Parts: sequence; C-alpha cells; structure tokens
Amino acid sequence: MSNLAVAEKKIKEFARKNGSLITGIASVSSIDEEAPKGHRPSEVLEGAKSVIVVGGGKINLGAYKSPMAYIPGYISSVKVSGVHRIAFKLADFIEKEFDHYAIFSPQALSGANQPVIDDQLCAIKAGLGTRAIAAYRVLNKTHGFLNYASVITTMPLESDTPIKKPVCPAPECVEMYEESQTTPCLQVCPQCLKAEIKDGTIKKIKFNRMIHESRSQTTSTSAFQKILLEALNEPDPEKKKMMLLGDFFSRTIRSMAYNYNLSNTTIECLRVCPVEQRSYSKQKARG
Amino acid sequence: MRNPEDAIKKWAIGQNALVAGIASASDIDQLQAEGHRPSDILPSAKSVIVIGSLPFAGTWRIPDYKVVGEVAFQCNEELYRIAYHMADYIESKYGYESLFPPPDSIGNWSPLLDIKRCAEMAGLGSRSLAGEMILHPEYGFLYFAVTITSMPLVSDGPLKDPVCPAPSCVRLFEKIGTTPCMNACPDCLSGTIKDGRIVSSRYDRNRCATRAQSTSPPALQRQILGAAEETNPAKRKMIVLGDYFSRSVKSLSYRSHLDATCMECWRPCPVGMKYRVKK
Ligand code: SF4
Ligand code: SF4
Repeated sequence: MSNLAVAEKKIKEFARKNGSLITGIASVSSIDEEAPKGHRPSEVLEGAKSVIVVGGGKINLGAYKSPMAYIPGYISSVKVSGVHRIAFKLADFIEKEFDHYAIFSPQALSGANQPVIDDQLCAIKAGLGTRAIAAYRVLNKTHGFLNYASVITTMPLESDTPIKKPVCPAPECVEMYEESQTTPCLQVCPQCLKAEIKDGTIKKIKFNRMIHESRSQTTSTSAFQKILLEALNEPDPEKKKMMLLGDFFSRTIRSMAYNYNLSNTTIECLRVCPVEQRSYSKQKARG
Repeated sequence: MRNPEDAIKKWAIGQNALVAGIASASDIDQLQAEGHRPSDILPSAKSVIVIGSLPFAGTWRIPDYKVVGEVAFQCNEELYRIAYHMADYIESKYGYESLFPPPDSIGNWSPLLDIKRCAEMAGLGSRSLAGEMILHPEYGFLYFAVTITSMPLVSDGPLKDPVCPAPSCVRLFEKIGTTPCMNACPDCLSGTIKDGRIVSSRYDRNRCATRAQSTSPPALQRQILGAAEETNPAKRKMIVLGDYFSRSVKSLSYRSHLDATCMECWRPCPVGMKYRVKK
C-alpha cells in the first residue's frame, strides 16, 4: 500500500471511529470548477488540495414519527452540530498526524442565505451521493439523507469517484412519475419542489428556497429580522409591544438562543422518500 | 442477562449522568395538558427515561451570580447531549422509536414537556419549596433531561415520601416560620408546612425571571422594545450599544446564562449539601 493510500485509510478510519457513517474525498479543483466565485475551497484555504467529507447525523426514527413538525427540525439541528464536531476533530487529526493545514468548512453564511462552502456539492464530488429532487439534498443509496460537513486541507489525497448512476429518482418514483407526473417528494410539497423526469433520470429540478424558508423556517434568523422590521415600522405602540413581547417573536429569539430549528426544513419531503425509508428499515425500529 | 431497564440506566450513567430513572408515558400523559404530553410528542411513547446530574461543586464558590448561572447552564447542556445520544442508543440497540424532546419553551414560558413532572414520575425526587424544583433524596437539586421512547419499560414510579421539607427545615419553620430556601428569596418563594409536610407553596416565576434571568431571551425582548420606544436618538444609541444590551446579545449568541436561575434558593438547602462542598 502506498503512503498516500495508508494516509487515506487512516483518515477514513478516524472519521468512522468518531461517528461518520460515510466518508469521501474530493479534489479541490473538482469542487472549484462548479462552485461560484467566493464559495470555492481554494478561496477559503490557500493552497487547498483536498476536501474530506463526513456524513452522518441521521435523524432518529422517533423524531420522524413525531406529529410536531418542528421536532425533526430541532433534532436535525442537534445532529448537524454532531457532524460538524466530527469534521472539527478530523481537521485537528490531519494537522497533528500529517502536518498539513486543515480547517473544517465554516458554518457562517456569506450574505443572507449562502453558505461559504456548499457541503452538499462537496459530498457529491466525494462520491457520497447524488442530488435529489427533495430539497436539492444529497441522497445516498444506503443511508438516505444525511448531514454533511467538510474538511479542507492542503494535503494531496486521491479523490473518490462521483457516483455515476443517480440515486434519485428511485425506481418506484420513476414509475409513479410515469403514471401521474409526480413523485412522493414532489407530491408532498408541490409549492417548493418542481422537477421533470425523462427516461428514468432527472431532466429539470427546482427547489424554491424562498417559499420553502417562509413555510418551514418560521423561527429562523431571517424570520427574526422580518418581525423586528415589522415591529419597528408599527406606528401603534400597543401593537408594537404585542409584537415584540408576543409568542412568535419570543420563539424566534429562543430559537436563536438555543440553535433550535433555525435553518432546518420540516423534512416532509425527506420523510416520504422510499430511499430514505429503506435506510431505516435495517434499524427495525418498532412503534 | 441484565434487564433493559438496568442496561439503559447503566449506559446513561456511563455517559456521565449521575442518576437515571424511568417513568411510564401514559402516567405522565394523564397529568399533563394537551400538547404537552409525551404521546403528543411521540405518538408511540411508552416510557420516559429521565437522567439527572449536578453542577460542579465549584459553581457554589463563584461569587458572581451571573457566572454561577452560566457554569451551571453548561452542565445542563451536557445532560442534553447524553439524552439525545440515548435516543440513538435505544433505537440502534433495541429498535424502538426514541427521541430527545426539545428542552426549550414553546412561546414565552411554556415548556413543551414538563421535565420536572417526568423526574418526579421517574422517582428521582419530589417538588420542593424552592421554586418547585425537584429535590433528589441523596443529591438534592439536580438538572434533568429526558428521552421519550416507544419501548415498554418498567417504571420506577414516584417516591413514596416527599424529600422536601428536610427535617431541619421542618424544625426551622416551626421556630421562625421560614426555611433556608424561602429565607434566601422571600420575594419569589413562600409556603407553609404542617405536620412536616408542605401544605402550600408559591413560586413567582415572573419575578424570579426579572431578578435572576436578566440576560435571558425575554430580557432581550424587553430591551428591544425599550429601544424601539425610545424617541431620543442619543438615548436609543446608548441602549443598543450599551453594556446591558451587549451582555444580552452575547448571552444569546454564546448560549450563556440564558435560563439559569441565580440559584440562591438552592444554595442553603440541607439536602445534598455534602455534594456541594469540596476541599
Ligand atoms: S422521493 Fe426520493 S427518490 Fe423519489 S424523487 Fe423524491 S428524492 Fe428522489
Ligand atoms: S431548604 Fe428545606 S424547605 Fe427549602 S427546598 Fe430544601 S428541604 Fe425544602
């Protein structure tokens, strides 16, 4: 085994031991080619050569079964932090073990809604899954929808190959589309999602993030800004008071304080996906 | 082979919880308002597993109550971490649906699930005169977190005898009509004891919040309202850029000292005192 192969094995093993369900490696240049300016790994870390992507943080089946729409979102936000923690540890491991610069992908947004690094794109390039119609998320054949976090490093590593055969649409979704021009995810959220399937593959795909956000991220940081603006513009002092001390504004502030249902979806479109459902069948969770 | 109840509790304690208990979800359902029952959160709920732990003893040696709240709050966060891992553990080991319910309030002051009630029903203590916090017979006041699961487990059930008032508190009340906790905070707490039992108990949550949670989310809302109502630009600037507003915003972004109390009523309680003292 070459030194490079040994290093890769060590890196993936470290990630697995720390909770990553799947780990892949992509070259910085392959991500740079597709990411818009200002969002390329090479712009975040000078001399970056590789991006290692860890995937995990699957929502508990119990959270999926909760009728309270915000619970899966809350659990998901907790799980996302867990995956970032793995990336954080992995970056530390790479610096100490291999003496190369490494950082975990920053969670900050540039502007209102743009992540600095698109972890989903990194996951695709690292061969961990393909784009799905559901919320434009990455779908993995075995694990369904996972949360992803990346480590950007100057260490040159051999990349994994992106998956050639798209995971989405699943065979039953193709059948359904042929019969009724929809899929389980499209059907559950026709306002946010639009797609066209031809010959079993996605031809067009649209995820309307703006509609999505106003429907499912009602206690996000943007919701806070909106209510604050409305309250400041409200000329009636009594109404202003009601807005600023009322339940809705309280929920947005608490949501920020506890990192609670900030940017997660209601997960309705993920819940119905057959690939996602199959990923839980191995778990045999009983109700 | 160990029964699953013991195995789950042992797992939680291995993860750094101090105590663990089990309550029946349907027993809690009967006592809770609609929308706040374990079965409202997880329809298949059968059991609620409650874990508890103490803040560091060093917390009691911090002179600034704001720092006390922050240090104690972090112990709470650690418990939440264990509780959400416990949901994963139960799903993967036993295959039952499980979840860690959000510990925060819905809206202003209404917790999704009454964790104190769950702790009581899991036999981890009883209501006390100190803000109705749950008092554990050995460790005194604890922080709690819960995991709800569809796994049927044998419940520990509530304690037979209330922990509060402690014998020394009963004697003190008979002598001077107060107890250490009520004495520490007569504004927020009041109560009466008869024949060694609590007869009435009052905890003024709104007052406690304005005194002890001065950098909590509602405190920030108040300040935003104050700034929005201020017509003098210079004064508004002082409000928004001033120390108090800065502390509230920082408290929010660093999740420090958000909902913790000043803990002054907790401090003099004789129950579990030995765990609050070190060399
Ligand atoms: S349900 Fe899943 S597999 Fe089917 S179209 Fe939607 S995302 Fe793709
Ligand atoms: S100080 Fe006494 S009365 Fe107060 S909570 Fe403790 S045991 Fe109860």
